[in-house]
Amino acid sequence: MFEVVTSAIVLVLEPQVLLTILLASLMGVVIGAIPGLTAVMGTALLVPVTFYLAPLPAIAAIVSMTAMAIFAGDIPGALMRIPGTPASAAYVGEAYALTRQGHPERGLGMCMGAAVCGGVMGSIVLMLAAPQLARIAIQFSTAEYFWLATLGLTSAAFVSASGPLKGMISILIGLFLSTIGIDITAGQSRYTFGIPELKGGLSYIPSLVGMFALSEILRTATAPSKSSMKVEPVRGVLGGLGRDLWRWKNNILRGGITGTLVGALPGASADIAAWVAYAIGRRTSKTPEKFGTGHLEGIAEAGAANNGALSGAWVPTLVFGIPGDSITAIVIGVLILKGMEPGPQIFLNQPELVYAVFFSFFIANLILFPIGYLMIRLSRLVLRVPRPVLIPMILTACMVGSFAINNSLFGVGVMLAMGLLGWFLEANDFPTAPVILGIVLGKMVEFNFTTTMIKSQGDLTAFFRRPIAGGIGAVTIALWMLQIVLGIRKTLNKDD
Amino acid sequence: MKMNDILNGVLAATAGIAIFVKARTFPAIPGQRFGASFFPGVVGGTLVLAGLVLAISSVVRKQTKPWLTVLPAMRSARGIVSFALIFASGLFYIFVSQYIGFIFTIFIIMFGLQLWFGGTWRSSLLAALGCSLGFYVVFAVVLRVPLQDTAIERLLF
Repeated sequence: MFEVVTSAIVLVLEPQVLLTILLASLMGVVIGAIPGLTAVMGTALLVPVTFYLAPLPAIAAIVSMTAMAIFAGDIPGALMRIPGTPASAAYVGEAYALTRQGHPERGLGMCMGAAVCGGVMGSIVLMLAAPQLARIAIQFSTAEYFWLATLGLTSAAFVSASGPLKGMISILIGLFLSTIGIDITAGQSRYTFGIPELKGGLSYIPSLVGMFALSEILRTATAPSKSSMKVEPVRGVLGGLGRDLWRWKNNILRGGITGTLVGALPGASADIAAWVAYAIGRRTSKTPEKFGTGHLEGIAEAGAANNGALSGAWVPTLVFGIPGDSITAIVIGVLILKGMEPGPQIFLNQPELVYAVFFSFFIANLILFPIGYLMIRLSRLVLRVPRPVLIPMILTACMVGSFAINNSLFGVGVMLAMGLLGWFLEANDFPTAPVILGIVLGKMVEFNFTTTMIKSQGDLTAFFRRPIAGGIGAVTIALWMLQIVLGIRKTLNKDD
Repeated sequence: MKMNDILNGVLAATAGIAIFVKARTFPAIPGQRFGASFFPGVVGGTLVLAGLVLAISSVVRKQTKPWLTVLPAMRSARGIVSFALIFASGLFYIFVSQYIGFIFTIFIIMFGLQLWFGGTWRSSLLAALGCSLGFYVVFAVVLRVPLQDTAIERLLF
């Protein structure tokens, strides 16, 4: 174990890895600070670049970019009341109220401090929990994996802000898209309509880029342009920060834990973690009436939660191959491309690499402090990036990235089609993250279901014979039953 | 275009029927109960069910939203043209880049879009030139992606 950890530290301290972390962090801080550009979109745009990097720098780049983007989303939130990423939305009112009171440095300082603490806490949990879970997961059979994937899809549907039914329809769209191409058990072409490029399945990266980045471009491009807002310089961020962090240490600690746990739920991302933590902070506060008036307590709790959630999402991703959020859904594709097939075996086959990834989380969260500080100082410049340049630049990055994955213009077509689908779904209040989760988990669900049925010669009780499979299956079914009962009650109550 | 949940449900159910019907046409393997049609059949069937539940629950709740609403962003000609231009740019790249090369294609897209979104002639020209060359250098020269090359690219690099 000691040798593994030492090798991992040596790996992560290589100049190429550190330089990649630094560059990706700078990219993340800019993406997060520009309203409309999200951490997920940044990840989708970063993927084509990771093809040309070694496995560790590729993963470390995504880790650092996302950690930085989630924090940087707080900057326009605090200064202009426009959250840079959805993860900052929960406490944007709080941070902006401090700016209006003439103290933007206190709000932004707390955002930065809480983000560092939450991120480090999440990294510790990831480092301790993932290897232990992997030891259990190594004994899993196809029945356990079937139920785990189904539970992942279930929780993604149920945590959806648009309601479980719309979340479920989004998942089913994703599951359908995962069936396009040659069938894994019988070798039959499905839904390819004679298009040879579809035989290998719907290309994953162009689908992600379209669903997350292009749909966002479409929304930004069609929205009325806002007149540029004046942003005052922020000074003295570090003055009194230590005192504020110490005062709200319990909130930061609880926010970090809440965020990590919520993040580990498939489909529940950093923005949900921040909302949950903010609600907990308010409910348990001795002064709940101060929430919404520029109170640091809410910022401390939710600011720690969203960065903690990023690390938490990696636990099911690495251990079971089930993404915890949209970012890790993209990461799974990169891990597979880099020969790091997610699942418990990765802890046996490539332990140095896995621990090096863990250490990259620490580095990414620790350098968040100096880069975050610099970004707060330079925020006036970044927030003035003109929209006419931004939209075409991101569109070009989407097109080149979608082309680069297979060196095929068909990928650009897939990106356009998925962008249109994503835009249409969001316009009709259907969440898009479960679509991606459906695409990622579809093959896993189908393969494990079919294999279990073939092994048991069609006996459905095979899904409940092993204790862990039976347990997860019972929880999944109970969740569905509960949801159905609640749905019927809600409909009947409204009818009355 | 925003539809109310009755229409959304009907659309989802219709898509589910199409998926299910097409899945029935996938050939079965002799002696194998769970072939290529099983999983998409389940997905299609569940989508029909979910769509119907969405539509029926909206009817039961006496949903008062209009059947179709034009999104606020699409109510102006500017919004519609912006939307169309983004797509036209993607199609332009797919169908034209192989004939006129990557740099010229991206230059046209960037220059045109910047002008449309409010950039000045001078800044749009400079940014389009810088970005088209910058993207080519990063992806084709540094990362070795075989972007669309014509005489311009071969002359410059």
